Amino acid sequence: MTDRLMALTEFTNYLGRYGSRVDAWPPAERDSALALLQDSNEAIQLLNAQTEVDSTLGQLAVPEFPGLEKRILNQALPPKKLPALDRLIQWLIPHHTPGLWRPASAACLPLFFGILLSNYYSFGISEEQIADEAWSDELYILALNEYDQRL
Amino acid sequence: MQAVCEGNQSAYQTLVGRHTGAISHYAYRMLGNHKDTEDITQETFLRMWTHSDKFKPNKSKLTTWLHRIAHNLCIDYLRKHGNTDLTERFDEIALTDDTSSTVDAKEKVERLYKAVMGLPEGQRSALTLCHFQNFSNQEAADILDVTIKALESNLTRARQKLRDIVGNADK
Repeated sequence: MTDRLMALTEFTNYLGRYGSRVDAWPPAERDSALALLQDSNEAIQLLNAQTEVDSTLGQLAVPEFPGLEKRILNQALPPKKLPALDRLIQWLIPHHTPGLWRPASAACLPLFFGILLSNYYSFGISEEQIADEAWSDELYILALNEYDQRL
Repeated sequence: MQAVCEGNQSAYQTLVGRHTGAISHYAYRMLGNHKDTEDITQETFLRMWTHSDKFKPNKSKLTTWLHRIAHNLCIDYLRKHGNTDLTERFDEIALTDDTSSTVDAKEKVERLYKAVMGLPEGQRSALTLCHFQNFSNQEAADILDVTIKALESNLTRARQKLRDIVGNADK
C-alpha cells in the first residue's frame, strides 16, 4: 500500500513538471508512469484532469498584431558605439571593404611599430661601433694570411 | 547577432521578422492586452539592438535570450502597474476555431483563462514558457534565471491550481 501511494505521489509530481503528454516525459519517468496507469484509477483520473486542463488551455488563442513588425522596424535605433580600435579601423577602411582587411591590418600593426622603434632607437648599438667591428674582423683575417710572395 | 553588434540594420530586420511572433505571444500571455503587448515587444527588440554585445551564443540560444529580455520587461511592467488588477486590463478572450460554441465551453475557457492570469507571476511565466511557448524545463529555468527545481515547483503548483479549478467547475 505504501509503495502504491508513493508511486501516485510521484506521478502527481511528474504530471506537474511535464504536463499531460506522458509520451513526451523523460524515458525513465514515462515507463514508470505507463506502468502505474495500467493499475491505478486515481492516476488515470489525475491524468484525465490534466489532459482536460491542457486541452482547454489549447483553446486560448493569441490575437494577431497587424503592423507590429512594421512598427518595430520603423522605430529609431540609437547609433552603435563601437570600441575605439574598431572606430579607428572603420575610419581607415570603409565598412564595405571585405572583412579580411581588418585582421590583416591588425596583424601589420606590430610590424609597423617595430620598424618605427628600430628607426628611432639605437638600442645601444652605434654605427661607428658597427664599422669598427667590421674593420677589426677584416684586419684579423688579413693577419692570418701568409705573405711569402713579394707583390 | 554578430552583424547586429556591428550595427548592421539588415541583420536586425531579419531577426525582428523571425522572432516577433514568439515574443509577442509570450508578452500577450503574460499581460493580457494588445497595447501592453506591443509596447513590451517593441522594447524587447530595441534592447536586442542596444545590448547586442551582451548576448553570448555559447551560453544560450537567441530565442532564449530574447524571451529573458521580454520576461524581465513584463515583470517590471507588472510591478510598476500593480499585478493585482490585471484582470481589469484584459482584452476579450480570443479562442481558437475548434473551440466548441456552447456557452458552457466558452465559460470554461474563460474561467481557466482568468485563473491563469490570476496566478502569481512566477507560476504564470513558468506555465507560459513550458506549455504555450514549448520550451523545455531547463530552457525555461534559464530564461527565468531560476534553478530547475524552482521552475518545476512553480509548474507543479500552477498545474495543480488549474486542475482544481477545472475539477470544481465540473462538479
